[in-house]
Amino acid sequence: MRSMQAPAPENNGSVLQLDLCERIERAESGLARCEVCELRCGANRLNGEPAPCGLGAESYTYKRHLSLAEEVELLPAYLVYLSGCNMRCRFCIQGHDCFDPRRGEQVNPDTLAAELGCAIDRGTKTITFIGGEPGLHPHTILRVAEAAGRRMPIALKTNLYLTPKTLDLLDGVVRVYVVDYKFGSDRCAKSLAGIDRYTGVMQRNLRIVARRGQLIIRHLLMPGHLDCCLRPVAEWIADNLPAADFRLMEGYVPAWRAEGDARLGRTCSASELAEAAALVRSLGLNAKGESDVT
Amino acid sequence: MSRDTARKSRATVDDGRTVTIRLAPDGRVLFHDLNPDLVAIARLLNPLDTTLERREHAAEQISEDKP
Repeated sequence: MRSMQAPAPENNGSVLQLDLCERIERAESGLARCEVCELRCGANRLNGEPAPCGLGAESYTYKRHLSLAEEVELLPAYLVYLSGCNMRCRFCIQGHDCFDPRRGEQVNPDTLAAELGCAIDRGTKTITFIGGEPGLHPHTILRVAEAAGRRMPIALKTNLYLTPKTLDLLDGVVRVYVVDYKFGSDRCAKSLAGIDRYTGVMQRNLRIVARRGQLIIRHLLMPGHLDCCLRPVAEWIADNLPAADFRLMEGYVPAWRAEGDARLGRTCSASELAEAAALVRSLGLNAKGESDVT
Repeated sequence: MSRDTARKSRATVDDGRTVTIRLAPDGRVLFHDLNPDLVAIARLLNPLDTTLERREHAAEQISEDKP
């Protein structure tokens, strides 16, 4: 384990400028009436009142490791999987682990910060919080950032179904937002992930985070959802955030409740993949980067 | 194995994580989760994937010597 050392002055300065202590206080007191995400359930996470995501005040991590997958420019990345999610995507590849809000080890911010510091010292370029939905844990991410004693290269892989208040808490702490813009309509979001007001929330939040750090917008192509999901997502980005990095994810596999599903229980066909790539090209999206696993 | 299958294989690698491997419709071998030991194998299986050289280079940035 890395011994705690004095941070470099310039890094320490950045941490102080972010006023982490004040943010942590706001984040933790906000858990008494949770509006971290756009479910806005109002549950008291401090006393164990049941929230739709099942989360309390503590965070758990069910997996942590070095990764060479997905966004090439962020590699090597050290991934921290935080348990619990506000969505129930029928095709979730992490579903068995991430939906359990107490899966894995309880996060001790000091211990995790030391582990992440060690990873950085060994050459890790990016610390990536993933889940589940890591944005449900702003208090924990801030605690870890504070305990690190230096500014860390944090990326958030998020569904972005979060409130502006949560985005404000993480502003400046998160350097890279990797956003999964999953559905092109509220109807698909409701039927596939069980959430309301999806499109409006996503478009508002994407505009916010586009001003705050590096933004990579991903869309996982789902079988049978090219016209209802990829097309409106890609067209909105082309019209509203044309400079944003866009990644078409082609590696869909039916997982969790999609296995055996009439529409989602297959991979995308070669013709769907070709049509999707042609659509992205025709819209002139900034899609040169590569995110798929290989 | 058919080229349009959703079937996948899971393997547990040395560091304890489970990696999912499957054949994509276009013939690529996709890995869900790629650890340093698997990058060279992935390169052999996907000679046209231009990202794998950069992934291998990223793996070389990690020092095993530091605590």
